[in-house]
Parts: sequence; structure tokens; C-alpha cells
Amino acid sequence: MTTFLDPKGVADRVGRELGRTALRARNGIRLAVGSSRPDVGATDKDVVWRHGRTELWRYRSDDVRIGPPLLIVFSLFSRSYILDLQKGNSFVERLVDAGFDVYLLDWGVPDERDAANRLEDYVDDYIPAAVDQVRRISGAEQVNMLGYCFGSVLSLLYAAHHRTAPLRSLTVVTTPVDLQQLGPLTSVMDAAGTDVESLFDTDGNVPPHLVHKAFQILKPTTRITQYVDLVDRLWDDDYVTSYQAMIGWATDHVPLPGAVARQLVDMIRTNALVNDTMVLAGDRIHLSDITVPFLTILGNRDHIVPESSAGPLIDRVGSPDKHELRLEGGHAGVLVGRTAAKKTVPTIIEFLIQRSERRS
Amino acid sequence: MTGLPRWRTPYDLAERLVAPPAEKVVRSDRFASVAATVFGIRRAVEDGVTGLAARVWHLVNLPAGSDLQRLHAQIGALDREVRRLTLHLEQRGDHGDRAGSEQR
Repeated sequence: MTTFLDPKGVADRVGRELGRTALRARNGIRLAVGSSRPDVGATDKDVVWRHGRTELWRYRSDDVRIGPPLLIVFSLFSRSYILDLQKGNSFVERLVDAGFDVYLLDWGVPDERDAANRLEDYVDDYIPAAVDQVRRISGAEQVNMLGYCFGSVLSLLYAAHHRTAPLRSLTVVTTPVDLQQLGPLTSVMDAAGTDVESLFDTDGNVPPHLVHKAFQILKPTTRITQYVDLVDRLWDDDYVTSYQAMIGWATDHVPLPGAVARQLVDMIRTNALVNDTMVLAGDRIHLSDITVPFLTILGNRDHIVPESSAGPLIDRVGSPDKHELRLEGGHAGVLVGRTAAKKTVPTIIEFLIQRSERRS
Repeated sequence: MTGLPRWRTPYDLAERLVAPPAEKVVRSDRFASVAATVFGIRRAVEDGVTGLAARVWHLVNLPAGSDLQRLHAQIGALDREVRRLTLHLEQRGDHGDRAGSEQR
């Protein structure tokens, strides 16, 4: 045990603290001037299809060993680079390394041209078109689909509304199903009711700063705690890089199309997915119509889509081959970081491999 | 040694005391209705100012910001229709090609 009377121990501690202080100063200056931005979304990819602001990316791989291809459908609220955060901490990179042909449907940044976009645009137009593109490019008859956050809702609606869709399997991660359990964003929308336009920006969309505030306010003290953690570990280069990448993403939202926001208000009011009252393009949508192999993943520390919101899904899906994985983790933590690396990603890979073919 | 500085313990203690009631407040119906009311009032004030400014610009026969916004919205809606039509045509073409190649 080191005591204060041990000169060597004291010297070591003083030396270590001086070293850390120097590193804190260096990293603090870098953060303040913004000179060291982490390289996010760096896995090599090509844009293989583009329509409006929407892009379909294909991640490069010389070693595709598993088919059919995997199409990831991202959320309408945030940016997709969370799935490809950093080298060595990238969900997409792991899937590519496992031998999958990975595609990602990114919605881009909506502007006034997207204010009239409805859920039908995404579910009945863009996703089917992207699925067709993936099949055309890869030559596969079917695709595996994976949705993240609100992208999961879009994937569910697609699978339920297009019962003959060429899906080999459907995996959804952190899926808001009980929309009345989501907290301020949806409760304020619900309270705004017919006056939901009061939340819109001049471009007719819900502005990103409002989306950000709605998520940030869920944990009012978290922002302060994050700063405290940063000050505490400012000497640690790896921590600072991860902090920049994660905080950068968590504060980097995109506008939500106004017409989708109006539909969301109706969905919240009737709790449409839970009560089986969802209507798209005049058709009633039943999650029980989803019959493909199905995996749902939720985090028990997810404050954005809590267990109470994502939990009801498994019982509503009609697939005979359906599975639920509840993990220790937050909203992004189920796909990024240690829990993801040890548990979520291997589970998803195993689930997909069992329902796919190995190519020679 | 835990590696945590001494000041961290009181902070964590305070955070544990403050966070749960704060979260309860922001998740309450009351908070939602107050926030919605604030947004509604802000919107009403903005609409009032915008309407007044529009009347001034219209007096001198010039378009106001609200006219441009309306125009943007109309162009946006038109853009959406064109995008949807293009997608439908592309898909019809793709399916036609597939059916053709299957018949062959």
C-alpha cells in the first residue's frame, strides 16, 4: 500500500498527475478550438442509388460469404453514422467482417421539399425501391432487413403492409411500439394535438434542435454529468475521442418531416401499433401479418425508447420464428460499445447466419 | 484506489438526489401541456408578427416572407409528387424487365 511517507509513491503520483494535467490541457484546447474531430462513418462505401435526399449505400467488401444481402433501414430522427461510429467500434464494420453484403438506407437531411413526406412515402415507395435496388445489384431474390429506432417502425410497417415482400428475415433494434411511453417528444406532440404545426419550423418540418431538446430533456442532469465525466477523464485520449463521437451524434439530429409528425400525433393518440389501429394509404396494418423470421432487441437502460415502449412488440408480431433479446444497454449502447461488441452484434450475426446461406 | 477524484463523490450523490424528481417532472402530463402551450403562444406571436409584416409588404405590392414560405411548401409538395411518380415508373420498369427476363 502506498503511504504519504513513501517518497517513491509520492513522486509517482505527482508525476502521474502532472502528466495528466498536461494531457488535460492539450485535449481541452483541442476540444475548445475543435481541431480534433473524430473520423465517423469511415467504413468504405458507395452510393448505389439516390432519390431526393435519400441514398442507398453499399459497404465495400471483397469477402462476401453470406447471402442474402442485409439492408439496414435507418431512423428519421438522427444520423446514420452511429452504426459506423469509429474504426473498431462500428456495427457495420462487424457485419462486413462477418461476410455480409451490407446496404444502408440513409434518409439524408430533409428540407422544405420533404415537409409533405408521409409515412407511406417511406414504407410504400422508398423502402420497396431500395429493396428492388439491393436485389438488382446483388442478384439475390430476398434480403435480410434490419431497422434501427424509428427505422424499425418503418421496417415493421413495410413488412406488415407488403406481405409478399422478399424478406428472408427482419431484425429490429430499439423499436418504439407503445408510443405513449416515449416521454416529452411524443407527449408534447400529443398535447399540441391539432396545433402540432406550432412545433414546425418555417420549412414545415420539426426542427432538429427541438428533436434534440426533446431527447436531451429525458435525462435533465445527463448533460452536466457528461461534462463532469469529461473533465474527470480529459487526460484519456481514447475517452475524449469516444466522447466527441458519441456526443457529436447525440446532438446531431435531422428535421422530422411535418407530415410524418402529423401522422405521429394520430399514432400516439390511438397508440396505433399497440392497439392494432394503424392505417397506411387507407389500409389497416396488422403487425400480426409479419410472418418472416423475426428478432427484436431492446436495452433495459434505453431512456429514449424504454423497455415499456419496445417490450409489447414481440407478442404482436405473427412470426412463428420470433425472438427477443433484452440487453444491459442504452439506446445507442445496444449497437455501439462493449455490450454491443460482446452481446448484440454476435447475436444478430448468429440470427442472420442461421437464416442465410454461406456462399462458396 | 478507485481512480475517482474526491470531488466526484459529492457530485454523484447530488446527481442521484436531483435526477429522479427532475425526470419525473419532464415526463409528466403537466410538463407536456405547459410545453405545448408555450409552443402555441410562440407560434401565435410569430403568426401575428408575420401577418403584420406581410400586410406592410403587400401595401407596396411586394411579396412577403410568408408568401415565399407558401411557395416553398407548394414546390415541396410538387417535388414530392414528382419523386413518387418517378419511383413508381422506375419500379414498374424494373418489374417489367424482371417479368420479361423470366418469360424468356
